[in-house]
Amino acid sequence: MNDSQALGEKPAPFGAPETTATPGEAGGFFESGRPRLGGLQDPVRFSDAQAAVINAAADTIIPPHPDWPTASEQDLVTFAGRYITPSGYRNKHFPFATEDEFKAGLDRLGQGFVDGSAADRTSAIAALENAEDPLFEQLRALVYYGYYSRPTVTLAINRNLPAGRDYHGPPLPYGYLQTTEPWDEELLTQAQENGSYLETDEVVRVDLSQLSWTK
Amino acid sequence: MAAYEETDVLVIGAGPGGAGIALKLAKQGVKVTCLEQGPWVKPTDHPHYHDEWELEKQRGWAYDPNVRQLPEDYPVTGTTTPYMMNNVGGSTVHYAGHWPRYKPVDFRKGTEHGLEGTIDWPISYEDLAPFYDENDEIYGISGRIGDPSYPDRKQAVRDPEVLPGKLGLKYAKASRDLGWHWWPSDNAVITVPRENREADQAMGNELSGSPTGSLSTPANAHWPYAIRAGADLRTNARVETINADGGKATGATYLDRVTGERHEIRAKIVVLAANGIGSPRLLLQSAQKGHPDGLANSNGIVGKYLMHHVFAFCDSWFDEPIEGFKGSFGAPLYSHEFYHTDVSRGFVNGFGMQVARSFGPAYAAMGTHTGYTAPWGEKHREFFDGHFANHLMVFMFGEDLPVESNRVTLDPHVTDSSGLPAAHVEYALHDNDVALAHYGIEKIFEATRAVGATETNDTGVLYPPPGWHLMGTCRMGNNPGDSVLNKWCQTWDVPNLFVVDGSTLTTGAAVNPTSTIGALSQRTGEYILRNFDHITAQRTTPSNADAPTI
Repeated sequence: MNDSQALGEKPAPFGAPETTATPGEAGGFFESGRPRLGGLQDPVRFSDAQAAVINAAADTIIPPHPDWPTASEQDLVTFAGRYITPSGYRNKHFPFATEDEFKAGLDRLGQGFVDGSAADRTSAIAALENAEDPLFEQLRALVYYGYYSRPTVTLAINRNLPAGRDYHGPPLPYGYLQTTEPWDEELLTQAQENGSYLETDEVVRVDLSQLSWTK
Repeated sequence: MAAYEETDVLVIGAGPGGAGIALKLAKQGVKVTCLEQGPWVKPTDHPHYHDEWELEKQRGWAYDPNVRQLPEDYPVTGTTTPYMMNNVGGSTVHYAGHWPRYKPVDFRKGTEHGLEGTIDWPISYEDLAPFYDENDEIYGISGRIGDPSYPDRKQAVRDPEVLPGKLGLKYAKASRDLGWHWWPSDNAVITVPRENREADQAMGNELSGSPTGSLSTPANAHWPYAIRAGADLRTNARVETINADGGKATGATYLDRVTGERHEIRAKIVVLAANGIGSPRLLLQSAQKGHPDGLANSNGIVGKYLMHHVFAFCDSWFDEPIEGFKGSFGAPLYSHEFYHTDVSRGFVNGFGMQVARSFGPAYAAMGTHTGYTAPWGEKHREFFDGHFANHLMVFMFGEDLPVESNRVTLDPHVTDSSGLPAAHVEYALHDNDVALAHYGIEKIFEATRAVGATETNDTGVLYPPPGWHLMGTCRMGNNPGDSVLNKWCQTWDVPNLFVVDGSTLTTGAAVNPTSTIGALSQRTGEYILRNFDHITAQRTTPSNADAPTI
């Protein structure tokens, strides 16, 4: 396992990676450039059997619901193919899944996973999670990012969630200027009532004996 | 033909520090050359028009160069998550644009407590105030004049403040009801169009930049005008060494990352502006005859006193729409209720509460800012439906003490793609910072619970902290015994070598640093402009008392 894979095992909370990458030596993998927006122009191809596993996993991670698009019908297979690292390339970008290992993981789940009951598939995914198999976080990330990027899912968010009524997917070209509340003048007036500052010549030594961490 | 080129002022780094000086000098006819190791970021490089915009935030738009690994990036090893970019505009190309100023007390922390390596700045708020105004006008800043927690700034030019949305109004009312200070934020986000720049559309996602130009960065506010005025901006130009001879800087040797060719450029004055990690790295890797421990480092202070701010992310959820995906990611408001030192709390310094926006549904599913990942399987739908866009996040970020052992050095084992040594960071949180942060988390949730938060989650004190702010490693000070720079940002060792970026900041305050870096850049530019011949004639760097003025 190389260092960049190690990062992928634990997708970072936004802005706060759980671990710091250990950069490659002598420039190493710093040299192949900005990844293409939208992922690979020529996606990694999966066999029918592997595609069936991805779809079954998608419906296990986000189970079908009558009011929402079904995950396995959102072409997450192509989405995954655009965002995993093709065989022979350095695995340097999120979700840090290599073609060979990802496919091997799908093959291990195999037809038995596809044909299994919902309970069986849940058990299989839970086993991956409990074993801290990198495939679990790769699949979950691809399903969450893929599913919630689909325009059909955006429409379902608009339809089903009061808080998502105005959400329109990509931030641009529309933005949200027309539907974002402005300031309330009364509130702004009230804001003038609290707050103060020290002038430069008012700054004096504080009593350091009260500091709790020195005790 | 000479094997080198010549210029009047060589600027290294095209971010806020370098761009400010380059623009000011070029407009007055000074011959300026700027070397930037990265490229221009094009509008089409941004992910804002793509369905997959949230995933792209983790890839080419990852904050950490160790994760992003673009060709222009260099490795940073050690205990750090360095959120920097290396391109025209520097790290502002992916910043939120939060634009607070320091307060007067922030320049006098040595007087106030003097803990660890804390010293007073060699200048005051009053010295810098006019340059804040000047700098703001160049960038284009939205906000509202009148914050009672700051000195009067009636001269500052402001676009109307960004819209608060449900999210901003919610926290404003929480602060009001508690009798706390709050105020609409100043943001480097224009709400009125400018030349070649569209006004804010409340789009959010400024942390992946802005393809429309609504986010004010040197890439759109400075460089087009500096180039028009004659500045020579060279991209993909990676500086290998700042050269010196006879106690003076003579210029730099750089590598063209595209051709691989090595060039030398000589200059009468050199301005280093490569950020709080990049600048000490470059000074240390410029060790040479007469400067065995690195340039400007005869006192051994280069790289020391690194500050990041101490951070915690605090998520709150409500049983009603908050719609955090709407609105400029520039904060709608902040509270400085707990900004000032109150030793009865058990710590010195203070913190700001900065209300942030959210992103989209994938962000909600993947755990928002605090790793609160949506469950998969049967419970997924209920969790997602109850959490998406019902979410409000507040940054707790406080002033961290400047500690000598928190430092940037060179990594002897790792190099960038040009074979230059990587930067290495050692950073540990001080007990004071931790006490401050715990108090801050408690206060933030006091506010959100008061206005109906039904669920909360936080990161705890983040370690290493998110390194958006890289400060203090070539700090200004009062004498060669306590700092790297005099009060005009001249290095004590080399009078015609200046440093202007986050590393220049003597203390970190509890605010985002870019407006202060920009103001220092304007002030330093003014000093160079008015004293060019004096500076180039100096054999030693003048003391703060003896230096010429502006």
